[in-house]
Amino acid sequence: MILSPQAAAALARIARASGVRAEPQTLLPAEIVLELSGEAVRSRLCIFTDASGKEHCLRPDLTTPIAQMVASGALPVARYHESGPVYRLPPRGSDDPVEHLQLGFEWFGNVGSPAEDAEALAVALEAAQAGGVRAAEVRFGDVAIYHALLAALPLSDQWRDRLRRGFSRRKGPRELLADAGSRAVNTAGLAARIGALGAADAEAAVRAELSALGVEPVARSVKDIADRLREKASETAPDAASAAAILDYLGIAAPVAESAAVLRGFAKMAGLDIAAALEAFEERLHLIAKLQPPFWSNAAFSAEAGRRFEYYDGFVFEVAPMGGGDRPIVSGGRYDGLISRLSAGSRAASGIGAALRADRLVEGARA
Amino acid sequence: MSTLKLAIPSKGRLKEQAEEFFAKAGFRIEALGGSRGYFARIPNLPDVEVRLLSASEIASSIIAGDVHAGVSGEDLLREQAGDLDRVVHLLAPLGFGRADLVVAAPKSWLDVETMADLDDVAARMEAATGRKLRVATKYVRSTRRFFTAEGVGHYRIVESAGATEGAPAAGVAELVVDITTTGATLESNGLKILRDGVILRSQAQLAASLGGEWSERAMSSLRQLVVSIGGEDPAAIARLEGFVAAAAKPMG
Repeated sequence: MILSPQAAAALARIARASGVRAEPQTLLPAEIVLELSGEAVRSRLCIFTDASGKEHCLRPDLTTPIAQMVASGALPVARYHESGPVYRLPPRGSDDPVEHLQLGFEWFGNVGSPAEDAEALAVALEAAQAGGVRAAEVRFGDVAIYHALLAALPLSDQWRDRLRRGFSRRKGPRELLADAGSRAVNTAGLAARIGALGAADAEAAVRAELSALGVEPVARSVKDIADRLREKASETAPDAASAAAILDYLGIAAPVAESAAVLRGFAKMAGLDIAAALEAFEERLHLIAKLQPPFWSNAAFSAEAGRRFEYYDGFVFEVAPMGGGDRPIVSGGRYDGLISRLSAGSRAASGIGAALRADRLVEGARA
Repeated sequence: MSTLKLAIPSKGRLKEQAEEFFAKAGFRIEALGGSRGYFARIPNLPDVEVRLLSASEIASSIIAGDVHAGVSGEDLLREQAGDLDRVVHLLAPLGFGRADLVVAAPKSWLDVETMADLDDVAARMEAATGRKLRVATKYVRSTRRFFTAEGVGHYRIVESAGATEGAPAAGVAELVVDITTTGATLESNGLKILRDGVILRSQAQLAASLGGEWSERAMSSLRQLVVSIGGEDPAAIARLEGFVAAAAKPMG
């Protein structure tokens, strides 16, 4: 694919900070993309099946194939930049093309830092500017603060996990909390009876129940079922104060200049110790301010930024044309857990990256 | 101007029930001769061109606008259309072809009663084994939509060609999404329907397409058909008028 002069200029800015060029493959085993993003994205993927029934898909982004190569050891942990077509089926009613040109970078390392966050943001914003964008809205967030909030609240482990994985879902934390009451009803009956027993007795009770039903255990062991019945019985719904703190946090939106103070005020009001996450947040803002990237002075913090992506776990940012929040030119963020997830825990690396849509650079230039 | 193209099931129980239903409303369906028998006529609706197709072909033909209207299962219509209500209107539930599209889990999963339980178990299995829960189904889109709405992640769909209910016992999936009328087949395969796992209570529907070219003549035949079927039922008339208004607008 031939780069337009704008896209070439944006890529040149990215390349200066981003090590070597990666050439990821166009075709991926569909399984990798589905394992990462879930079946919910399947309707957007260009998937086809080979003679043996194995599914392949065209890459929906450049991050996945590069991260996959790092996770498998095919590429060393390092900084990369990339450009090339990516493929997503448009949702019904959208005139988005299936194929569009993406530019970007992925920086892998041993440990992420606020300094690296600041640098990545500056490179992405300067690349957008080099690509011709003259005015843009920047929205940013920090998924690590949400995680710190969940860790600081007196929640049961089940609820902490649930609220954590709910962040990127359509049925999100708000909906989960609204349903919390009805969930408690489920622990009546069998779960309550078997769940109240000790580990060994609970297993024996499950075994007896299965033989009364005349069924064998399928896919899960008797122990696993007994363990979960016990967990269900001991599980408590989030208390009112915790639920309120989560809802309050998700509602936070503030201009960048006020964001640190608003978050500090929130932590104090809620009586929560999330100091480490907030310090990292403030240090990052301080370092970004020193770099003076374009478009940043009007940036807005949103606690919900990054909800559309499943793998972000720290700083996240998006650049959109003025008034075009649903059509971002740039999306980026930190994904320190990604390599570990893709390698089933056998490798670990910090990671941060950003992707620019070349077709939308032109839109941003018109703005 | 074109006449109303109406698709009617060509085989099986659904064909018999559809014929019976139309006969009761005063419309006898006569297959036209010829070895292939893809066409039929209704003697007292001479302005209607009847096509005989499988229920699944009828659903896709209505969605594509290849026929104006037809009789098919709501489950098939919803599965085949991404967003059914934008392309098809359900004008009249016909009271036969009843089946529920349900989520079923192994009976041995004593701790799993609801979709919320399923998400917890799926997350747990993935954490322990690195593998996602496998769901066997022919209803891929309906499954995906329902699981997303119910907040269930950590699963993979295994498309099944037939005998979906045997998938867990065969070890190719843990869960099943399938249609059932009495639940007996699921039950005998060691499966139970989750308490909030009914995706759709389906039945045969007279459905009309917003995709086709609607002449006045075709619309007038449809009106005659709906009124004869539904009598003076105000809800049926309201649905018909809603459709007439939507069909008059260009597709958005």
